[in-house]
Amino acid sequence: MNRAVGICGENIAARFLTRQGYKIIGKNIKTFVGEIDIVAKIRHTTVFTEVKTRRSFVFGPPYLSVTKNKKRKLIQCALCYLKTKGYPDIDWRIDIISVQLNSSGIYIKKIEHFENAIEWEDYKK
Amino acid sequence: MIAKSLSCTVIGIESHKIDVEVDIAQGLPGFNVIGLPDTAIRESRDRIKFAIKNSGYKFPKGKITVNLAPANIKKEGSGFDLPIALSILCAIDIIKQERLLEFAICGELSLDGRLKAIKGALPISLGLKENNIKNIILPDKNLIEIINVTGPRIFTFGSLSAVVGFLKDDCASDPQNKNTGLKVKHKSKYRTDFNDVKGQEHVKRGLEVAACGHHNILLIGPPGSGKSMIAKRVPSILSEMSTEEVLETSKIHSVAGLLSPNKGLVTNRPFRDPHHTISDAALAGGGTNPMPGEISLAHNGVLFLDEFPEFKRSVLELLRQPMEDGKIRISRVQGSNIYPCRFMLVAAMNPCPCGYFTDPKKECNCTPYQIQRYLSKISGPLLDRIDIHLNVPRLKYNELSQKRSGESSEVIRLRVNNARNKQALRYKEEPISCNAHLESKQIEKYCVLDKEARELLKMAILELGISARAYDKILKVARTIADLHGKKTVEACHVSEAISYRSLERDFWMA
Repeated sequence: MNRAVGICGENIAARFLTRQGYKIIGKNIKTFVGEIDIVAKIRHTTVFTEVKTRRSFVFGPPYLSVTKNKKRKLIQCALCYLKTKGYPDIDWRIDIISVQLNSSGIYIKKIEHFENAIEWEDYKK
Repeated sequence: MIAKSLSCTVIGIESHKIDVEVDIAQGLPGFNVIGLPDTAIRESRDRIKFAIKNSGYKFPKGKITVNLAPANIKKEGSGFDLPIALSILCAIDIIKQERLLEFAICGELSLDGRLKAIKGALPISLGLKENNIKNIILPDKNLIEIINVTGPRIFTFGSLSAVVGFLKDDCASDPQNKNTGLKVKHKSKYRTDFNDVKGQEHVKRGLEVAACGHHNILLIGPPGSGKSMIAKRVPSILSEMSTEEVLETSKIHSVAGLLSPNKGLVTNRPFRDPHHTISDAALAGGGTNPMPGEISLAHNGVLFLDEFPEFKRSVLELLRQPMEDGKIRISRVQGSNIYPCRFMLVAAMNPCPCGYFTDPKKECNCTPYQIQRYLSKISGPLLDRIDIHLNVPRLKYNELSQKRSGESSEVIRLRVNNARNKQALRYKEEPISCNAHLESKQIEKYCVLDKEARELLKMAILELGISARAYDKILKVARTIADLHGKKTVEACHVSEAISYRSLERDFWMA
């Protein structure tokens, strides 16, 4: 059930990014350390996106569930992805997209896009 | 994209040039400061980010690395916010690099882009000459502190955007320190005055002599005799400070962050009166990053220690070496700094634990052992370094009931100033400015006794058993008294007064 909500949110986020002018390079890209939800590109910047989807507000907004460890993980994933590409000298960043659905999961209540949500400082413990 | 700017930091009270290099690389955004920064500098990241954003510029994406060189000096303080921010703006081509390198830059940023005052602006501006820097940019909150500095051209600004506007504009505006020469305003009004003190004429006289020659002084008397009251009035009779003294003392106060924003330099001799619970480090200076202590803050002024024997023994003993040398070296793991501390010690104490030992009316109920233990807290070496010892007796009824009498502080100050000027003139060639700092070689040269005085002193040494150090001290004090009287050579009456200032030691400590 939750998996379905997650996939639904990722599709919504991908459409959202396309409308904003991003080019989607891949979805659910698996690396040695974990999975990246969406890899997109805008101008010369590669954007790694983590999508968080929730149907209820009981546990707070979706973007708050990206914890410190998850942030470290995301940086590791991005580095791992870049390594498979041979460390190209490019600009890259990690964004978070938080998608709120209504309780039955049919309507989109709100989409929020946080650019540069994760920085190098988050990598330090 | 690399950019460089110049900044300064203060170590001890000396300024050091620091190069601020900024590189913006591609990759995941980040902000890293290297080159031994302290926490305040590491936290500058967020201040700079928001100050740039809120000043209407775009904060660059990419991995920003800030290097503070030379890398082996430990940097502290918030003064690096502005040079880092300007280097970042230079790296994204808002400011030209050549223009930026014309200036040394110091300043703390607030989130809205305004500039805040920094500690140590005075030593930084004074040290520019040694570092071959001609221009400096500082926050305008520091203006009053540095307005009198001559030499470097100082530009002050209120906000980041104002600095950027100035640097973009190639035609330089006028520097803010247009004043030529140091103008020092002395405060002439004091809330307390010596004519508030009834009687105690010999104590006032002793303090006048002490203030003249910057001699250390010890007041002994029963409770309520007015020791503290008199000592608190010492600032009102102190002589005016010379320009160098003002700068030296202000530098220390600037480093300690004690210069008040509306008064500017320390133009009156400082008067520090720490409580007797003070710790060693607070008195001498110390801390992880060494900071000046009370003795350094009292540089060129007065350190007043009330209830002298109540201070911890270790605290009192640490005064010994700085009192002789006029400077103290504070060594910690982080580094060692030298702070000057030529202070005049004014100490006040009771003769015994109950306080009434010398009181003719009230009976003292201390045992001889108790008294001895109380007095032994003041060690011989320390006592030896105090030139003038004075007994402050309890006042009699007719002295108490009389109306205000005696000279006002202004009259005394005039005499003190006069005598001080004479000393300064005499010691033009020497590295000292007053009689108390005379070395034994200089004593021979300057304290010339006439025949009668020599005879008297010889007799005193034979009869009273005076130590070698005490002999020097007597000569110095006699020299000061002669200066007060406007005499070139030291006469017998001057020597006899000087000897009388040492008699208490024998009464109490050698009894």
